[in-house]
Amino acid sequence: MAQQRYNESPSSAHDDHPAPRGDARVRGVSQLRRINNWTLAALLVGVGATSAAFAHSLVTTPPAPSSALSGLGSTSTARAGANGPYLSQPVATTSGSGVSSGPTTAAGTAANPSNRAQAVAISGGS
Amino acid sequence: MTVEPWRAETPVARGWRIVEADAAVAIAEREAIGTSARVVVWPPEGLSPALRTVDEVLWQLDRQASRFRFDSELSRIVQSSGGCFFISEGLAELIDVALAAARWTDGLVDPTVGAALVALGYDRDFTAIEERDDPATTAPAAGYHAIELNGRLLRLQPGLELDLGATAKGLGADRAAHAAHNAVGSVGGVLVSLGGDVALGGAAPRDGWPILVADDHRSGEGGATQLIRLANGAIATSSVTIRRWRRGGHELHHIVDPMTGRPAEGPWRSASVAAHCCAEANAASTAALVAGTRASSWLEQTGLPARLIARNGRVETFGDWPERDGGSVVLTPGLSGPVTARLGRRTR
Repeated sequence: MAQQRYNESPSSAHDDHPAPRGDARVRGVSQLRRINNWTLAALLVGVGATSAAFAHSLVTTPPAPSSALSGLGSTSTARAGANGPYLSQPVATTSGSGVSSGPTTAAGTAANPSNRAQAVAISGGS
Repeated sequence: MTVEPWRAETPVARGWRIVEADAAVAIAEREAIGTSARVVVWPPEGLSPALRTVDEVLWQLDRQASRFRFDSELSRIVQSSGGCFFISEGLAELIDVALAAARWTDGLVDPTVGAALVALGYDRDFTAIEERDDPATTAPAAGYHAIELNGRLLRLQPGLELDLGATAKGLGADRAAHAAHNAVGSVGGVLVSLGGDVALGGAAPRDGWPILVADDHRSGEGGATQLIRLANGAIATSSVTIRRWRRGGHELHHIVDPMTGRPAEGPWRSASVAAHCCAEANAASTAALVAGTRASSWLEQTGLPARLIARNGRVETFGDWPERDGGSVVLTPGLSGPVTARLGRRTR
């Protein structure tokens, strides 16, 4: 297909010296064919690699595992199971809300200066 | 102090402290909104996005509903001495849920107790309250009927001081758990505790989240503690044994009876209730303490799993609350109350 297209090129149709230039043309055509084949191969490899990369990213959906977290010490309260881990020790306590004097949320800052409050709170019944 | 390299590089949100992390679960804590926040995530890889999301939710909650932030939306409204306000969707939801709780509890929980708390001396962040010799005054709540909310349009009578504490913290836990679970791609499960108000998002671990029920979320000790397992919904505990201060020679606490404007004086020191959302659980546990001798009948009427601890240590359970240590608290769909229904309608 590619060869036919080159043969029909305008330059070949208006060639005044076909005999001396014939070999060169054939060599040129061959060179073009080789280049074209290499380009095709490169394209195929590229498409394949891109597809593989996309497929890989689709399979690993959750946030990327943190190497730092995986290095944390375990207190062996949990073991992984098919339907989630089994946690043997309490992970939280429900109780009347205690008080902390620490800072508020990372972004929160201002408390009422007239009240000399160091932290802000949603107060009231709990 | 030597900082281990992995800890220095731990990519958790600023301000959080990792309590535990292994192959199955990760737990982190921080101080927030005047109490402690705890986030538990499985699988543990979701911890960082969950913490960032919880921070955002708490920051929004603080800006919307804090009584002690002069620049919060609630404070600005209260400073305006009544009138009509077009409020944010977030604050509208908080007030809507507070009103639903007030109707459900027939006023045992009432968002208009703000003036009563101020009169008792709880007019600033709790850590800033100092003992005073002059006696506290009392200011019975104006009553939730004084609040009109239509969508995002709020009308308040002059002089009305709101305190959304009985539901806002619970709703904050609900929001945080839901948002954090979304942030981790709806994989696994998330538990968020705000000062002991616990809400769940996603799937529970096998046999449910193990949760300790106690008077004070920092102690976790004492004969009245019990381990329960919660697979869905939320749980909250109200107690008169914490957040106490002295005024005029009397010891006061923050669970206020809206009818009298005084701290509740019932026979119970602590109430724990499980419900489909934490706002409802907190409303119910607060209402039980305020109800006093009527707490048992009120809790039975709700059908919710609940546990009361009397001032003398006697324990009474309701609904399907497990008797044994380590038992499961089961919430069937039929136990969904009006606060949960209200929340569901707004979030759809």
